[in-house]
This record gives sequence, C-alpha cells and structure tokens, in this order.
Amino acid sequence: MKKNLVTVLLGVCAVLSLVALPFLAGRVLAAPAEPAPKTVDIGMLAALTGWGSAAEVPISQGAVVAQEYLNQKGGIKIKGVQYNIRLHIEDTKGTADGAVAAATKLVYSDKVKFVVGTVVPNVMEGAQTVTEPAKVLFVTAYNSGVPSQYSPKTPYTFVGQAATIEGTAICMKYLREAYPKAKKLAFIFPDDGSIPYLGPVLKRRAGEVGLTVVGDPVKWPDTTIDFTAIVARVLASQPDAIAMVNGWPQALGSMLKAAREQGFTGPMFAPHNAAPEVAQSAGLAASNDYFTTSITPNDPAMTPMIKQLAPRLQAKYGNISYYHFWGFQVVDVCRQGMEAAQSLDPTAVKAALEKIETLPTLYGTARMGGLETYGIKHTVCNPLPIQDLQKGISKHVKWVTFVSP
Amino acid sequence: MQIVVTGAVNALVLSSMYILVALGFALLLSIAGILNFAHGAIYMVGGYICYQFAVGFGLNLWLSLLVSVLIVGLLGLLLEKFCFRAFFGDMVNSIIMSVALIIILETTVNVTVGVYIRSIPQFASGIIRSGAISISAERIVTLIIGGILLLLFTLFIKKAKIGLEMLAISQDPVGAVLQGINIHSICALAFFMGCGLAAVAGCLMGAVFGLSPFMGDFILVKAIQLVILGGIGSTFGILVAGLIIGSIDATLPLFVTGAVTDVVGFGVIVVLLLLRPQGLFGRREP
Repeated sequence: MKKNLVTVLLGVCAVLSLVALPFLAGRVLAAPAEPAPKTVDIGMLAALTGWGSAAEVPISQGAVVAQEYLNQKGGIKIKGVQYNIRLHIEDTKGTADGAVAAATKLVYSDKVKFVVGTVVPNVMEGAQTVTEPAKVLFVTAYNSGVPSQYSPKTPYTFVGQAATIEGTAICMKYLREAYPKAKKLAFIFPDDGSIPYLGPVLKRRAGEVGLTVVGDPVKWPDTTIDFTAIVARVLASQPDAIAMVNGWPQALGSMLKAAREQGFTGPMFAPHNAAPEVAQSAGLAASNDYFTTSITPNDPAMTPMIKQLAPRLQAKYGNISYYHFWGFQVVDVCRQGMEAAQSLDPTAVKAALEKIETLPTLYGTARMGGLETYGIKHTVCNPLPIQDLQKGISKHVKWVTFVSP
Repeated sequence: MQIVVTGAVNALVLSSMYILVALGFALLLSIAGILNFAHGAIYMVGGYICYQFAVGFGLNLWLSLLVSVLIVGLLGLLLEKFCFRAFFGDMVNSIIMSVALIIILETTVNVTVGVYIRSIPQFASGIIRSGAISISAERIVTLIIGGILLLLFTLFIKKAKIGLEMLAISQDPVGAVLQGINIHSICALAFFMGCGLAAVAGCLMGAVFGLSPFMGDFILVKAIQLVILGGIGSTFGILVAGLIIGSIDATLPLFVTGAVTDVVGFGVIVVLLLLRPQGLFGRREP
C-alpha cells in the first residue's frame, strides 16, 4: 500500500513537472524585459480655479498634451538615456500666495528641478520667491514686462514665447501695413505696475514703425467692469488706433464694445488674445477692425506642428484654445534646453539656453532675445500669427516676427 | 458733449443695476435680519442661467430672463427654508452660511463653465446716434427695465398688502406677528423677490458687461455700500445712494485712474458715517 502511494505521488509530480516545464522554459529563454524609461519631473503651475483659470486651465491641458506627445516621440535623450516627462500640475488658485504654496510643494515635496506655466504677473512673482532661491528653472508662458518678474534678478526664469513687448511690436508692424492712414496710437494698460517699464519701450517700438503715441497711457484696475469711462478718456486724445496692451478676452471685448458704442471706428488691437473669445465678449456689432496675435487652428498657413496638435487637442478636450499651444510650448522649450545641455541640472540647462541663438518651436523658428530690452536674453522670440476680426468672423492673415533686441 | 451724455447715461445704468441688487439685499436684511453675502453669487447665477437658456437651449432672450428670475427666485425659497430660516436674526451664523454659499456657488460655476468666455446676447442691438452723440440701445433698454422694476418695487412696498406686511416686519417683527402676519411666509416671499431682483440685474449686466464666475463679488460690495450709505431700512435712501455711487463709478474714471474711484466711493461713505451714523435716510437707534 505504501509502495502504491509513493508510486502515485511520483506520478503526480512527473505530470505536474511536464505541465510546468514549458512555462519555466519560457521564462528562462525569454528575452530580458526592457528597463522602464527613466522620468524627469516637470512641475506645472496653473490657476485651475479662481481668477485667470479661463486661460490657465487650457495652458495646463496643453502641457499634458506636450507630455504625451513628447514621450511618444521618444521623450528626452540625455547622454543616450531616454527620459520620459512626468508632469506635476499644481493649482495656484490665481493668487500669489496660492502660487507660493503650489511652488513650495513642487520644489520641496515633489523635488522638481523644472517648473513651467502661469501667466498672471503677481502669481508668477509669488512662484519666483520659491523657484529662484532654489535655482529651479522656470519657463513661464508669458511676461508682462515688469522687471520684478523678469530681469537679471531672476536668472532662472525664461519666457517660453513671444510676450507683451514682442506681441505689441508685431501688432504695430501689422497696423502700419493694414491701416496705413492710422498714424496716431493710444495705449490702454491694466493697472499692474507695468506702465513705467512697458510705456517707454512700446513708445520707442511705435516710433520705429512710424507711429506717434498720443495721450498718456490710460490704466484700468483689475476690478473694472465698465470700461466706458476709461475708453472715453482714451478717445479724448483722438487716436487713429488703440492698443490694448494685456488683459483677458473679457476685458478686451468690453473695451472694444465700449469704443464702438462711443462712435470709434478705428482699428483696435491686443496681442495674445484669440479674436473669437474677444468677439464673444464684445458682441457681433462691435467685432470689427480688431486684430490680435493668435492661432487659427484650421488655417492652411499654420505650421506643421500646429496642424499635428490641433486634432489631438480637439479629440482630447473637445475644443482648441490658443492657450493650449502656450502650455505645449513651455514644456517643449524646457525639453529643448535639457537636450541642448545634455543634462538635467537646471544650472546647466540655463547655461545651454543662454547659448542657443535659434530653436524650433510650434510657431516656427524662434530666436532668443531680450538682452537690451530686459537686461537678460531669456525670451524665446517666436513668429506670431496675426488674426483679424471683421463682422464677428476671425481669420488668419499672416505670420510676423519680432525679436526683442 | 459725447463724454457728458455717455457719462450721464452710464451713471443712470450703473445706478439702476446697483439699486436693484441693493434692494434685494436690503429686503433680506431688514425683514429676516440676514446679512446675505451670497447675494452677489446669486446675481451671478442668474446671469449664467439666462445664458444657458438663451444660448444653450435657444430660447427667446426675454423668456430666458423670465425663466432665470423664476429659477433664482425658487432658489431663494430653498435657501430661506433650508439655509437661513434657522438663523433669522442671528447675524454671525447667517454670515457664515452665506460665505459658504458664495464659495459653493462660485466654485461650482467656475469649474463647470467658468473657463469659457460668456456674454449674454444683447437685449437691444444698435447705437442711437444724434449728431456727435452716440448711445448704445442696450444701455437705454437696461435703464428703462431697471427704472420700471424700481417703480414697481416701490409701489409694491408702499401700497400692496404684502408690501406693508414686509414693512411691518422690518419695523417690529414681534408686533407684526402679534398682528397675525405670517413671518415665515413673508420672509420666503422676500427671499423670492430679493433673489429675483438680483437675477434680473445679473442678466442685464451679463449682457452689457459679460459674465464671470466672480462678477458677484463686485456687485455685493456695491450693494453693501448702498445699504450703508442710504440707511438700513430706507428704500428711498438706497435709491439716492445708488445714484451717488453709480455717478461716481461712471464719471470719476473719466478724470482719474480707476482705482481712485473705489477709494472715493468708500471715502464718501466713511465721511458720511462719521457725520451721520444712520446713513442718509436711516432711522437712528434710540
């Protein structure tokens, strides 16, 4: 009986071994598993809630698309090693203290060495109180021209695309071409402390293209709802054209509407605000003779990169916003800096970006500029597309480049 | 001349909108003893509801305004019953409740539709021109609607039985109850009317200036300014205060930078309160 039991047990073991053998052989003979690519953490600061979220939510979405797209294309190659981008998005709530809290988490908890995002001036300054001392590279999506945000005192801050001065200069160039009779230009600025810096620079840029600035710059506080009186002040200097330097589409649309209601029919422009959004705020009747620098996604004149990204954005988010491309741009500039430095050390990346003269962007070839204008050559001066608004319909006109000296 | 006419029309438009919102705010304060800081958020919700019906569902614009008023009025009834009834006369807890409502309403709108630029279509299109003067038809219509509502409200308070009951409660709630007035029903009606007035203002302002999840913050400050300046409990005081503040907001930016306008507005209130603590037409506490 004992002999039978032993025989049965041996038989079962033999059967089990035969069954298991192929699997064991497979494991032994199988090719070794590919090591997972390494990751580089990039922090993203954006107002996901609160003031500014209308722009910064799409910026953060664009950054997510950048992460997916660039990782699919092979990520970042540093000394033969592939690094995938891992984005950490934090909500600044559109406030400076929210930005400080978000940046602190990114830098000290998530240990990121690179941060991208945010366009709101005071929010950016809040973040920089954390990133600059920690020598974290910060590629912002915008710059309103105030030295406290961007100057030799912020050596680790880069502006990832053409911003206020570049956009306004481009619009002024276009104004001279499209409206040759408009020679007197008036400025409206938000009351964000930028006038003492932007005013003289933009006046010089205006003079370079044959425009005369009339009247003092008129400023409006962030809390302004009714722009009637503010626009009336601008119109008192009898300009041929009005430049609305900075502001959200809502405010710009209100200014456009107020100007048309008061009988002003001259051209008005504002850099970096999509014409359809301004038209939404201004109303159909006022949406004439307005132009801006913004992407018209379905136009054949868009760059190949924009044409690639547009359907991705549409599929993922159900719409395409100009701000989506801002988010993509800042992540891509960060990536290019790392590849140029062949390093993940922010100081090395900073040095590499400072040496670069040109770099390919989704807008086309950009040049680094801004040494004379800002005291620091950290601005990516890319071409910008002019978008024109007539009778409520916006269309692409042409690409224009301006490199800040 | 253009500037003078534009300033005058604008002053009246802003004044009428401020007064509409302030009257609703004051109604709740004087009848229920509630400082409803969420009144600005309710004004904002009214605007967005009107937009949704007019643009989202394609309903006639005027009908959308009416629907918005009804929905926000019903919201007011719900708020009265479930959020504020327990705190009648309790200023501190009603403030806490109203602050919570602000955060809930603003954040809900912000995360759902706030990222999109929205503006209610114009209630009247076109520009009325006369010589060198041009005025937007939309603002004239806004002014007319505001004026009619103010007149109706004033007549209601002074002549209608329910209006007189509201006055009675605001003067002496205990006495009113002893007279057989159903204080809860009247308070509920006050909430309905107050929120409805805020919704009208939100719809009209949403057409003129566009919508934003935070548009209520600004109008709440104006409502409080008017109630304090005019005197708590005085409808006529709110009307006069509205004209003063609206005129300052419409005309001062013509001469000085916009931020100074807010300073002047509050400065006027501070000086007045130092000289006359009960406001322009308020009742002095014995």
